Amino acid sequence: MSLAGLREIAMDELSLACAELKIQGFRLVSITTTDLCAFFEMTYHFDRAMVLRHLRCRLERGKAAKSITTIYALAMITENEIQDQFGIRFEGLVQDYEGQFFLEKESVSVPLCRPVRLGPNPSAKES
Amino acid sequence: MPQTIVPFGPQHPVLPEPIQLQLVLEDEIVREVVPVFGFVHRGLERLVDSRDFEQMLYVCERVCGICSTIHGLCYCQCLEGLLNVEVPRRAKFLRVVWSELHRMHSHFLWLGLAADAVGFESLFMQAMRLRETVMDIMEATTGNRVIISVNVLGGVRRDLDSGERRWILDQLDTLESEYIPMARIFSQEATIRCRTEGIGVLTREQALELGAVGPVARGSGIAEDMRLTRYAAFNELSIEPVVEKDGDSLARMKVRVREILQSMNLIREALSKMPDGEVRTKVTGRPEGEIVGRVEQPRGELLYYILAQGGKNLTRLRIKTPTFSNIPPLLAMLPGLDLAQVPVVVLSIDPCMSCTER
Repeated sequence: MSLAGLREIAMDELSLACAELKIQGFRLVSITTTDLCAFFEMTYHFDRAMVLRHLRCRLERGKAAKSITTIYALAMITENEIQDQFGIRFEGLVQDYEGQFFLEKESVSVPLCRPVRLGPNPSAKES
Repeated sequence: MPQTIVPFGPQHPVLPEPIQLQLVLEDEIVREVVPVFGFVHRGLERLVDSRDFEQMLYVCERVCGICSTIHGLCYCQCLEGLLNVEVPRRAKFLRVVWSELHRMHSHFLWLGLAADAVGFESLFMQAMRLRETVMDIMEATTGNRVIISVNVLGGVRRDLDSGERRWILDQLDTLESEYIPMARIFSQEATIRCRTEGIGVLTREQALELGAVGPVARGSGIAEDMRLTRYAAFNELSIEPVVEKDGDSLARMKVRVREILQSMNLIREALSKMPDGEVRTKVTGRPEGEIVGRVEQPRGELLYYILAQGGKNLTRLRIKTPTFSNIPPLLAMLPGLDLAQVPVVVLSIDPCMSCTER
């Protein structure tokens, strides 16, 4: 099963795609980031009249993502959370908590940044 | 004029849960607000690594006590979608009954806290007294008061026999007769109005721009309610979003006051239309694929994103809670207010930090 209303784009196209959705009246619902070993998968969820639309882009490890805080104010919170959880930096993030949004200054690890197996999970073979 | 920074929270009489707002003041007028989070962050999303998809239901129910059954409902609906499970109709109606009871007890709690915040102590006690009726119904029908844990994959854990249904209807009738005079006080009484009317205004345009959800959005004239997406048995029930247009703290209060009555009516309708049959279907297999599910919590839209790859453990669980969306609107409401008005306006979004920080 895959998401209905999903559109895959390049990270460079993100700002423009978000601006277009904003003009069309979509609000940002949330951003989901998943660590898929070779890259991060970032899914942006939008809503208009209770119908969801999703944008998805890939981000290579070690590269910074584009912030959309100037387009959607809610992104400030979600992008700061992603910085905490995955160690991803956002270029142009308004009100940057620098990885200490939920976490304390003493925190040195990014809790959700861990390898995820691609393909079938070996535990699926268990009875 | 010199500026002073006053820390509001993390411990404050109007805050049931900790958040800090650093208020930048000129004299006693708020000019800027910087939120500080992380006081109850638990990293629950990370537990998908160590708990299997059936155990995660119990984790999701503990994201937040106040709306625990609605978290459980959203999680179950997502997994049932991935596993292609058709839930029995009776179970869908029972899910509505318990989730609306949760909405009622959450709103009663909020009304009590709001009365306390404006200095109306006797009204606080009356709101908490009426809330006990709802808690009693949950305890009698599920064995617990807050984390009732009725949702399971494929349906619900318990059924309601005809005697229990009749008893719930009697309790609701008594509760309604006692609640209506209280609802009038919350909507019309001078003590309440002078602390809430025209204060903390969020215009419809601002609410749309900043992505407000739930009673905060509906108090600003936006008729959005995730129950209109017709999950569970809401496709067979009559529901109209409760909307107020003024956008101030009083409007948000009125939305919640009316939603309690709406929940009572939804429970009555669900109990009357509930079909006979099973309440649980057997679930086999392991989830594979990705799905997004949304439901309406007492505070607004709740979103779950789940990615599964056919194993015991989910690959990713993402939870977006309504307070998360209502923080930017709150930050827009506060500038220009007097310091003494801040507590009531903060409370007016019904902040739930356990949900927000997970």
